[in-house]
Amino acid sequence: MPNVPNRSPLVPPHLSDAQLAAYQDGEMPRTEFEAACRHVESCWTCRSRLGVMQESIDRFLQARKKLLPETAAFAENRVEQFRQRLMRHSAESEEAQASLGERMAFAFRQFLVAVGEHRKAALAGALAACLLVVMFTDVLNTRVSADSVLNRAQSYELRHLPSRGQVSRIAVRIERIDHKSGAHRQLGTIVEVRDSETPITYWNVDSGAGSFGRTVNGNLAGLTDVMLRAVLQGQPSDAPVIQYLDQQQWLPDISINGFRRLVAARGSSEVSARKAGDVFELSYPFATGHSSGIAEARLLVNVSDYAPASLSILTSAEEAQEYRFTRISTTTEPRAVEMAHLTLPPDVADLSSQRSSESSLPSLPARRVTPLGYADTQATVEEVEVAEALHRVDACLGEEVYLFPMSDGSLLVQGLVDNPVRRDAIRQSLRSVNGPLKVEIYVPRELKNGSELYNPPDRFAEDASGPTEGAVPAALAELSSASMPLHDRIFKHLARSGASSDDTEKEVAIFSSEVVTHARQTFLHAWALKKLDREFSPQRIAGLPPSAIRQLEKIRQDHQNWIANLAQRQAEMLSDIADLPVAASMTEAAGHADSDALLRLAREQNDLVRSLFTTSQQAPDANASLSRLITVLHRMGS
Amino acid sequence: MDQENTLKLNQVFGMEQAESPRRSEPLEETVVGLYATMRPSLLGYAYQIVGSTGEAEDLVQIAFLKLFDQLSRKAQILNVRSWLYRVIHNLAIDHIRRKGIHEVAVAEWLAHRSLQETTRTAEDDLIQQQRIAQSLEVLNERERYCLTLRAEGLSYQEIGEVLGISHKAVSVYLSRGLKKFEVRDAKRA
Repeated sequence: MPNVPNRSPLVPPHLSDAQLAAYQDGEMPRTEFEAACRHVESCWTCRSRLGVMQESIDRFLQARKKLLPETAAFAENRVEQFRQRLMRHSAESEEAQASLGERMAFAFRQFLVAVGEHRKAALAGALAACLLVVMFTDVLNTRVSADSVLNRAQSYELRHLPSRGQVSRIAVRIERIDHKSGAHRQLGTIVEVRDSETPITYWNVDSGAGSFGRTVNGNLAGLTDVMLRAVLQGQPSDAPVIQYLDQQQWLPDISINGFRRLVAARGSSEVSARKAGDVFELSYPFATGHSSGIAEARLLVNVSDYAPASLSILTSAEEAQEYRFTRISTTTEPRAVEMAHLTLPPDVADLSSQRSSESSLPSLPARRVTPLGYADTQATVEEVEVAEALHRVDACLGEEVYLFPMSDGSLLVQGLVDNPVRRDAIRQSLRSVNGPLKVEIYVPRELKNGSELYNPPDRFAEDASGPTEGAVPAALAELSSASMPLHDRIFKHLARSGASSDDTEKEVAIFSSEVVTHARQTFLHAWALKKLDREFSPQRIAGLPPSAIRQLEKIRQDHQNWIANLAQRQAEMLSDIADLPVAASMTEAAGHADSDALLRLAREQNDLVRSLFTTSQQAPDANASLSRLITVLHRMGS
Repeated sequence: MDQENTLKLNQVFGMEQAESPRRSEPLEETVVGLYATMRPSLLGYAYQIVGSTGEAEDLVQIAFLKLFDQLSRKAQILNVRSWLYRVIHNLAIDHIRRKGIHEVAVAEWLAHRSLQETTRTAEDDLIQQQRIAQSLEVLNERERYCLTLRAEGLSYQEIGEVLGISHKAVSVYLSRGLKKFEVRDAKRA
């Protein structure tokens, strides 16, 4: 109340303007009003102010009355006009409500009638609607089809290939997780740069041991081996895994094609997929006891766009290791001049060697395709077909014809045969083989110094004395009757009354030649059987389909039958001259021998035959040797 | 229908309608009766905001149509008078905002009235009217609305409901408005 000073602290303060207005209008609360009344009665100033305020109010009301429009004029008309307007409004409202209600009721009745008439169709429609909701909203979608997720992820990859003039750069982080100890270790990063203009890829490996780069043009053999060995730093338990990955030509770029290759030879068809939050989790278990030691391959794919996110390779329960490859970035960038130069096709190996920053790091194998040992590879169906084709033309029996698994995944049949006819026969037989196969078969005159031929693919051929080593072909055996230990006995056995001495000698030569030939063939079949076992060892054929394994078994059985038949034939021939009953000797027959035992026996019988039926400087004890030979033959013949 | 609504209306007014002869009337007639009774004061208030008799008439009728709709839907309205003033106030404010005449409404109204009255008003009355008009111009919106509503006979409570302000604020706006009016008037005098 700025305009009215208080008189004294003992006197109640004057009313404020707002209080005065409320007092004037009777709008004060009761207690406040009574106090205000007492004050006003005793305060001339406030009474005076009340008077002024009342005058102001009166003047305002009077003036306002003059300013207001004349509302009384035509008041009746206005009211009537409003009545009509209200009636119209009321009618429209009722009509609108009625029509809305009627329309809804009519539609509902029609719907009920339709449902009643076509109950099955209505039910089917409702079900279809529910299905559509479930399909398009993922309401209940926790289980998914692994194949469909893989296909969609592949579509994603195709859509995101680098367009012309660009390269894509994919960075993958590699971790090893030990599920036994819970140790989680980051091992390194591999970056793949894909070119849009050429099939060339550039790889950069960054690990604790340093970093190095490789430019690769198509041939991926050995690449995974080199990169993973560098990143994983050579743990012994990693070897079979890396070997398997390399063999499958899997690359750590988390691509779908690579994943398909990874699980192609897992020896199981089991697969499961589920949606776990933002990712689809695809689980591909490997066959129990898989040679790689891998128990499961797991791929995570983003739900939102089906981009492959990470890949885990889990080893068996004993190792309990997880190799996790996580795609940490995928970018596309212009194909810069440097990049274009890097990816120029000619002589990429030189470029890659220039990029290597650590000389101690493993290097890629030579660009030339090289043969691989049996111990480092898995047998393929094509290898079985080659073996079968060679077996068909007896090229497995002592001929220097070998099957080499090559570093680029192809097969090479290389060898040396006596003449072009024989070569043509082998080539003709190999034409039935599918897949990448190269045939290099030489005749002696085509060889310069023998460097054209690879060494046999495994140690077996080096350790075991091959069938040609020291062997004397039957046709070339010198059968000088004068020095052959059993000559007299055979001559006596074959001599017939009336026959001339020369004729008998010829029969002795034929008899001896036949025995030597049988012995030689027996040895060759045993050698082929052993070679087959080495070539298709249980470790190598783990991933083969049953049909291929049956094919191998058939070849094996064939050799065994030949060995048994030839040994029996020899035993019968020799029993005649040794005067020993076959049945008695057969009692010594041992049980079924394996290929090693068979080979030993075959070698022994071959040596014995050669010592008894060919010329020899040191005459053996004919009776003892013959007895031993027959025993060996009986054992083989069983 | 509408027996219930009629009863409520009677309670709200608490006046002569308490023993209403229109107890059994349809709602339309009840609303028309209310319109006839309240039209002058509501029209004055609306006119003061929009500055046009025709537009003010229309706004008042619209407010009653809304009242009819509310009562038809059995909505409970505790104080029909303050409800109507509030609806009219909001309609009028919306109207002048739509027309972009928010600030000039009063001036137009005053100018319009002055011209109308010029030919038939004595010189003294004209001078007094101009003084009042000029005094009203210095009032701000809230003060003007409060004074006008109070002049229409609304209680502080009802004014507060119409304008969405407290009882205390109403007394403050009223006193400030009267003070300005008083000072201006005194200076002119």
